[in-house]
Amino acid sequence: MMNDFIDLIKKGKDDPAYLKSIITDKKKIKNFELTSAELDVLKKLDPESIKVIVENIEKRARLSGLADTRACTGGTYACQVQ
Amino acid sequence: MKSENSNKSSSHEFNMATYIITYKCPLSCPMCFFSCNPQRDETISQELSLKILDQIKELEISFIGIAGGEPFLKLNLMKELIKKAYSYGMTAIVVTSAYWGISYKKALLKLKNLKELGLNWIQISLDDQHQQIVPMEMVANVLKAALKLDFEDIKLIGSSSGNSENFKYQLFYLEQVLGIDLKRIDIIDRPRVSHQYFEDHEQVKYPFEELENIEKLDLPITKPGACLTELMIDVNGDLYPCCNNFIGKLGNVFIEDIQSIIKNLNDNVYFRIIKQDGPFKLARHLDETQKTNFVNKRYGSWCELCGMIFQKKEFQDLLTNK
Repeated sequence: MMNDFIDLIKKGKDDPAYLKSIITDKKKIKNFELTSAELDVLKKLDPESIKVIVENIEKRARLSGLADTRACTGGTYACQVQ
Repeated sequence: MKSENSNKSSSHEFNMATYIITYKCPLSCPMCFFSCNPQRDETISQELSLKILDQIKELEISFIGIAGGEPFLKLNLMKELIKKAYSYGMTAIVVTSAYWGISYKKALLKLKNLKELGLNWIQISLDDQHQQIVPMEMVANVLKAALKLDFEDIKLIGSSSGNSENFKYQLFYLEQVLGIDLKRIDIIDRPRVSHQYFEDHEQVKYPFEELENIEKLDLPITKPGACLTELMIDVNGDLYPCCNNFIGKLGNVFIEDIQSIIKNLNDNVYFRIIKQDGPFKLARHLDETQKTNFVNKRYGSWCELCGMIFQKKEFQDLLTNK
């Protein structure tokens, strides 16, 4: 489930060893309700890569607020015009 | 050729008008500007909303937002607005929770139909509250459909402030697990939420003086005048000069036409103060003249300060030119 997946990613971002220990332990991973697609992502990406991807997304979200000047309803157009 | 009326109103700086077409919503998010929920059913009149669109056209405003509540719950009204806006050469933008994206096929069908009417921009809300009711797969279905149909503009609107820090992880999930190409989507980190939510959840509060020098704070709003470029028409016809109803209303479009309401807006001293110097100067002015105490408090953003000023009953009509 998405929430379990996000919890794992959150912890794994700051503690790669923890995430590794969960992914590689069949008993431990069963405690998390993960779909096969979620499991595949965790197996495919090492914790360091996850950290980099999350940080890039975070950076992009933050920068988009300053760079994008296209209209957007609900609290995001005016405050982005530079 | 501009009509005489449009020449008269050319001094305004509004570039977008957003309709709140309904308070009905499958969700009841605690931070909702309008406290929308499944039980509410207030809906803007179709006849009046189309009539107002003529006035908006006269003002040469080219972006029309259609929001709520959940506009997809008032599909016919939404379609009529899109059609008419398109016929006027305007860009219609729909804001949705994507609750209707039950499957990719259904999302594609619905969006295809709207695109044929002229819709080319869509914005999807993404945060903890929305995702309690709307599974991320539904968001992904709508995004995939919009990408497939080559929508000109697709935005994901979330908030990493005044909320949990889940926004970036939800985006990660969309990209890595559900296969959405985020590079083709604008990600918007929304800075503002409702008054009550400010009170309860805003994590970071800044002293007034610090917020006044906002360029040092790395917040989205960086200068006075960047605000007040969007009009918002509430379900009941109340008109606001901002993307939300925190600020004082200008008038009511069901009683008076928009041109008349905004015609002398620049002569309104309070509007001019906020436009030129931000809400800080207004707060100082009110502290000096009305014995309020805005300066000594902490705020999460300019919007919160503005909200705090205008939610006081005695200041609610400061921007009404009466």
